[in-house]
Formats: sequence, structure tokens, C-alpha cells
Amino acid sequence: MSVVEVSAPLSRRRWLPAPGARIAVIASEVVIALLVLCALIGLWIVPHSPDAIDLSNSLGPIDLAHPFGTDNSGRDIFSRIIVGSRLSLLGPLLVVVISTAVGVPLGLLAGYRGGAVDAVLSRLWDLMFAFPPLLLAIVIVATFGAGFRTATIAIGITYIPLLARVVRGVVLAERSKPYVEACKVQGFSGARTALAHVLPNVAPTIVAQSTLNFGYALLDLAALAFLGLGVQPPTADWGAMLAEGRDSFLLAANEMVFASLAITISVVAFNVVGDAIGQRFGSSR
Amino acid sequence: MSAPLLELNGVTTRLRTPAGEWNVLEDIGFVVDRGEIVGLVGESGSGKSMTARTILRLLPEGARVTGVVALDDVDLLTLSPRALRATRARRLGMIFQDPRAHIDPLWSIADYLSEGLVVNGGLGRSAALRTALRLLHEVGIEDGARVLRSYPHQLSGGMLQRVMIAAAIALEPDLIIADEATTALDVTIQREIISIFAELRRERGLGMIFITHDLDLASALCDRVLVMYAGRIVERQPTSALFAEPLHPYTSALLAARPRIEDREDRLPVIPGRPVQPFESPSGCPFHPRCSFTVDRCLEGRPPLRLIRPEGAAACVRSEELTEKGMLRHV
Repeated sequence: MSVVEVSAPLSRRRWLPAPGARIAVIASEVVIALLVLCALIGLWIVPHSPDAIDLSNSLGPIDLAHPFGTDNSGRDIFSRIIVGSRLSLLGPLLVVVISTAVGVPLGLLAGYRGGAVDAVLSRLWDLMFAFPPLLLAIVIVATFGAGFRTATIAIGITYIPLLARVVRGVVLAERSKPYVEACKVQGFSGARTALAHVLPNVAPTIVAQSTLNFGYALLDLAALAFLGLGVQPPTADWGAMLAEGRDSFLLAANEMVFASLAITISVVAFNVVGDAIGQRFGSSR
Repeated sequence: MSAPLLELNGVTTRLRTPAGEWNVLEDIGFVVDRGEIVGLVGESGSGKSMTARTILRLLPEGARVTGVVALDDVDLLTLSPRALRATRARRLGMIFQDPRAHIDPLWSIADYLSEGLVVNGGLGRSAALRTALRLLHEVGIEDGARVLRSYPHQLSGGMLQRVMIAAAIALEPDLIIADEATTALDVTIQREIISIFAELRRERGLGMIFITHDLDLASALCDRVLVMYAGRIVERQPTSALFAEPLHPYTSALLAARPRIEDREDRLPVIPGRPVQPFESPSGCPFHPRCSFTVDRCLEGRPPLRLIRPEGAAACVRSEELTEKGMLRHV
């Protein structure tokens, strides 16, 4: 335990997997950086306005002016994909914020206090897990009306138990560590020990899980939009574009193909990075 | 005479696990006075750490304790959670065996040391840092300023152990419990830590329970030594008397089993068998299967700890007889 002293650079080297996986991680980080850039300044750099309709060029082919072709209403798909990244990333971000803000305190409480508190909270999210998250979200959206805001809140709520359960697990493991006992001996309150000592020590796991959740949320929000329950046309959003593209899929598959690619690449990127964070900190403890 | 600082009386600790229920401590009784260092020695599993945990109420869930653990006439076992926290914060200090595991790895030493001073001692941040520096000096750390800026992974085990001692004495507790506090350290550091303890006792007059399995270490520091076996105290004597003339065959065997530098024997004398847990201890004297002096009387009931001399007690039915014949004295 205290015999082997592992220096920081050594342990950092240890987590890095095979070169191929490293390239995947770096590529994913580049993809995420580009996505964020698109979301921030995409509106000002796209070649065409995402909402500019040109009915004379409906379902236009791929050419220099329209690298991804045009959709049913003649709008430039490339521009819409770029601009669509805004809502497609903002949604998952809000989902992560909601699920973290509620899930982390609940998980910390359940894991640190244990006993009856843990039993009640755990049964609560077991109950929520009994429904597929997307189904639960559909119920919420159907009740409160479709749209970006409701869809985001709905998915956010269904992700709370996902994060809370993970946090509870790592807190449970962390709680049995000797330094937590040392805090008890020093007479610190449970709240102080949990917030000032346990929480920072499990933070890496929370970041890793939230990054993974970001990818899943992107997928779920796209699914809701595809079903017509999330972002509504004509707003540029990848999920909504999938729905719109479906009508003309047999004539021109461009819109569906590129929207799907955008979603797939983003989700994979967030998954790879989330896994990498998890491994980096998972193996060091 | 005033009441002792700490008094344990008839303390029995019972653990409940999925595998069953059993006593880990049976009928423990001893006192610690102010300015006194009491050694607690015994093999692994003899109940040394459980005694410390019982005093601090750090037992696993489902544990039951009967008896009295009085700190200045206040029974720690019946304290409310709130009062218990206050007592732990201000009056008790604990030094663990493995400082690296017992200090939050994410906190700098400055933050670690000042946390207790600020939260429990009510000091301001800068006053706490000044106190922390003084405390580090007191435990023999010269470059305190550098240590304060460091994180646990940047310090050696010996250095961290000093830091933990500094944290334990920060709020001037009345009683310190050191559980194998020097076991993980190399011998030279061990000696320095021991001298720090001796100095703390001299300067602050605090009481200390020093838990170790190393008899020589105990003899270097302790005023009195309690020997534990299978969850019971089997002998209690002032240190010098214990070494000169043990009253219990177990102590005698422990003393004989120490490696000595003078005589280079090929084999150390050993105690046959293995240490038993309290729950598996045989009827009669728990030590009788391993004892070289066992007679029929040893199988009749647990021998109680009784006074053999004015200052010496042992839980052995043949203690007087064996002592008189000089059979327990080791060479």
C-alpha cells in the first residue's frame, strides 16, 4: 500500500491504451472541439442561410455550392447541419446539467448516509428504471406538449437516476476508505465529510459518466425530434432533419444520411472521450 | 486522588456479521491517567485495535458494547451523536498506522491541518496556518513552510506520520490513541516518532494509549503495559516489572520469542499453534492449548484478571506458583 510509490507521470502513462485507441481518443477530442466551434460560430460562417428556401432547387444534388445537397424546400443541408449543431449540443448539455444538479446530491446522500435513506432512494430510481427512458420521456412530453424545452427537461429527468446510481456506487466505495474514518475521528460532521472530502474524490467518475450521458442524451433528443416531440421543423436540428428527410428518403437520401452521420459521429466521439476519462481515473485508484 | 482520565470497566464488544455474532472483546478494564502512556500489546486479532475502536465508537454497524468507557466520568458509550462529535473533535486524538490512506489525497497539508483548527477550533484561516506551522515544528519538521504547500503524495511516509500526529494534537486533546503508529515506518524514523510521543507527554501531560505488537517498542515508551490475548487482557504490569518478571505464561512466551542481538541462535523460540480469535477460543483459559504449563485446572472456566502483586495483575490460575518457581522469567 504505502510501499510502492507511483509517481504522477508514471501513472499517467499507464492509463494510456494502445496507440490505436489513443488516436481514437485524440480524434474524438478534435471532433468535439469542432462541434463546439460549429455551435458557437456556425451561424456566421455557413455558406447559406439555413432557413433560405429555394423551391427551384428542391432536393438538389451534391455540388460545389451545396456540398451536401439541398432538402425538400431547397435549403442547403450543409448549412443546416452546421447550424443544427447548436440545438443538438445545447439539448444534451442541459440534460447533463439537470441530471447532475439533481442526481449528484441524491447519489451522494444515498451512498453516504446508507440505511433507510439509501433504501428509499434506490427503490425510487429502480422504479424509474422499470420504464425505458425514452418511453418515460415520451409520456412527459405528451403530457406537457412537444418542443425543445419540454423534451430537454423530460430527458433530463429520466437521466437523473442514471447518474444518481453511479454516484451512489462510487460514494459507497469511497466511504469505506480510511481517510473518511479519519474525518469521523476528527469530529467532522457527515455533511462536511461528504461534501468537502468524498465528493471531490469521486468527481472524476461524475465527469466521465456525464460525458457518456451527453452522447446518449444527444441520441435520445434526436429520437424525440424524429418522432415530432422535440425540436419542431423548420428549426435546424439533426433529429428534426431526420424526420423531414424521411418524406423524401426514396427520392434523395442526402438529408437523412448526413443528419444520421452527424449524430453518429458526435455520439461516438462523446462515448470514446467519456470512456477515456473513466479509464484514466478508474485505473489510478 | 482525582479520577483517572480514562477508565474502562467491564467492556464487552459484540460484533454482528452475516456469518454470526460473537464477542471481539470480553470484560476489558483498565485506566489511563493524565501524562501516562499505556501500552497495549498482543498478536494480530487479539483485540488491540478493537479496544481503540470501542473507545472512539468507530465500530462497524451492528456492533454492541456493554460496560463503561468513562472519559473524566463521562460515559462515551452513551453520548449523543452531537456530543460524541464534539468529544472526538476536542478531547480525543487518533493516530493511525497508515498515514497515506488516512489523509485525503486531494488536500494540501496546509488545508488538512487547518481544517480541524478552523472547523473545530474556531480559528481564522491565517491563525490556523500559523498554528499549523508551529505544530509541524513541534513534531520535528524543520521546513514546515514547504511541507504545508505539499500534497500527501509528495511526502514520505515518515513525514506524513508526523503530519498526522500534528493534526491529532492540534486541538490539545486529553487522550491520544496511537494504533500501530510506527509499524509502517523504518526503524530510525520509528525512534524519532517515539521520542516525539515521549516529548508530547512530558510537555502537554496528555494520556496516551500506545498500541503495538512490538514489545521492545512498548518498553521504550510506556509506563504500563497491558497484554491482550483473544479479546481479553491477560496481564497488566508496569513496564519494567513486566519485562523483568512476567506474571502470565503468554507474556513470558512473547518475551522469549523476540529476536535478540546478543545471542545468534539459528531458530527463534516460537509459541506453538496460532493466535485464536475470541469466538473460537476454547473453554477454560483461552491460552491453554498453546501454554507449556497447562494443568487440569486451566480447563475449568475463564481465569479472571486478578491482582498478583500490588501493581501487577494476570489472568492465570498458576501465576503465583509459576512466578515463585521463577519459571516465567526469561533469560
